[in-house]
Amino acid sequence: MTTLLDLKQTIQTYYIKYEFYISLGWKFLLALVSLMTINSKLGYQGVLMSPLIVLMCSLLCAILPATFLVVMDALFVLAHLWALSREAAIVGFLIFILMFLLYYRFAPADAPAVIVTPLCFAMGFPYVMPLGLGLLGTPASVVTVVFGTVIHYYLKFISDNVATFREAAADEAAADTIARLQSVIDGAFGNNTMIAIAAVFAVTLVIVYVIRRLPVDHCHDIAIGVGSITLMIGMLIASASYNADVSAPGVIIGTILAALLLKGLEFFTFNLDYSRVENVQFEDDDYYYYVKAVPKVSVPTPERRVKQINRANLTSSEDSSSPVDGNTRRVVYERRVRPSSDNFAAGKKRRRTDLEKSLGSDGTSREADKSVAAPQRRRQAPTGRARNPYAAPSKARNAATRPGTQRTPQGRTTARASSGVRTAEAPRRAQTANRPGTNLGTGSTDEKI
Amino acid sequence: MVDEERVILMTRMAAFATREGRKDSKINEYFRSDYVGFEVVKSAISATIAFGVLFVVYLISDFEGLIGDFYNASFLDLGKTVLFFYLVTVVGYCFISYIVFSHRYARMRKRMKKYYKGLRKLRKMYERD
Repeated sequence: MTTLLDLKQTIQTYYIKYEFYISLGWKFLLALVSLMTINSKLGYQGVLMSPLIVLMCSLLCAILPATFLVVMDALFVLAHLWALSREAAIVGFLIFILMFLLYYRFAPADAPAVIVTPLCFAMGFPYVMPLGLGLLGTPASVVTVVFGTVIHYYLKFISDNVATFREAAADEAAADTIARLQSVIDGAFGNNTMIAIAAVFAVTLVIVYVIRRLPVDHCHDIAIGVGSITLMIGMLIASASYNADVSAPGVIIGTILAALLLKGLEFFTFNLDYSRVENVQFEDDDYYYYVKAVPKVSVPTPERRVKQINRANLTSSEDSSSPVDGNTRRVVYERRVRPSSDNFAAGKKRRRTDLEKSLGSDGTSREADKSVAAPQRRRQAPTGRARNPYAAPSKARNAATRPGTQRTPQGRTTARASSGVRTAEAPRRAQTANRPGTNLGTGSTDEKI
Repeated sequence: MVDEERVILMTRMAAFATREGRKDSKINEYFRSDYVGFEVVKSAISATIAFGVLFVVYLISDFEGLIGDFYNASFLDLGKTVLFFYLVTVVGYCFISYIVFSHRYARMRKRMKKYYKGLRKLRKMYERD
């Protein structure tokens, strides 16, 4: 786990440092892969097959917003279909129009998922999409998965019937346009396998989403497990009912691999605060400000344990080796050094000796003194000049200091975490919550302002 | 002399203004009823176009059947059926739009209130100086 946390910190550091270039890079790669896949699957428009054209379009997609990826891919698909058959292009255009009209008014941010779903189908690994979008997305992502599935099966139908389309195009004068449109529409919308798989994906996504929102421990793991089982059962039923071209071992192995992949994704997504560097500029009457706010990278500290020194002076309810935070450590220290009134003189030397024994003679004791003094300094801070007016609001701060609470990447605080990693991070967050500028630019500006 | 606390506050507010603040300030120009109503109207238009597309697809796919029953079919019944499905589509889509955009407006107001609170704090800092 420590290695993974180190890896997490490294990724966070590099992401913060090169966020702009990483954003450009993934959009460029996604556009390049999707356009090349479209060209390899369809490839009827000779002009668009040029690598230079593909490269230029990918660069354009990298610069423009992510929604433009879908538009570019749709244009490529329609151009190829137009070169093959006008009827196929018209039906494809209707599908894209429906998608843009009905869905993109609500969730344009899900645009890449529409591209990734057919890509995953093309790579033979589509099971990751319903699980992944259920874990990371919203219920509206159902529409994304459904449209991605429809697009995949439509393109598959076209590529499977290329010869028919070419014959019809060669004999255009005799062919009936309405009949050809009917055949294309039947192929696009009358595919029972497509409908069944889209329904299974939609149900799986909703189940994963509902479970991962439940306020229970390990809800993400439960969501992945239940979603995987649902997906396997649904795919096998769909395969048996409609003679879909999916094999049972392929479904089981693919779903298990998807679940494992999502387990890793869950670690990096829900444990990693992908904050961004803020480059802002503003002015007042006296200055122009050009500010680059870099989120602090915090290293998770191991859980501290305090060894009991003298059991006779402690109450029986205190554990001899229990994890504590800074405040608990201070209480224990005060109990040890404050003698009772009746045996102050006799107990002074003995208790000091006990304390030195338990804390160590040189370096260890100094560290202990620092750790003891730190909470006192923090407690005194609000009364002096260093009081921070920009610290998190009281509710959020209280939540941050509660063991077991966790800040999500969106800046919300949830009280769901219960694993060892999260509880280990809780004291660290409590310590950093009151320092000026600690929360600056951590990707949660909407909450802090 | 640069006031460090003021710079921190202004940085946060500027970061908000350059991200969520852009969209939020546009939404904030409307009253809630105006914003939600306008979005519902746009959704109704989208749903109408989408229904038209689907209806054309249905007509093409069942073209021969419709032509065969052209003289026997009751256009009144057909019109009622089409109108029923149209209303179901549009009303359902508008209802979903109403919920989504009402929720979106409420979240925007929360963020903007925090932003205005920061502005007031900043003004007090300037007045204190």
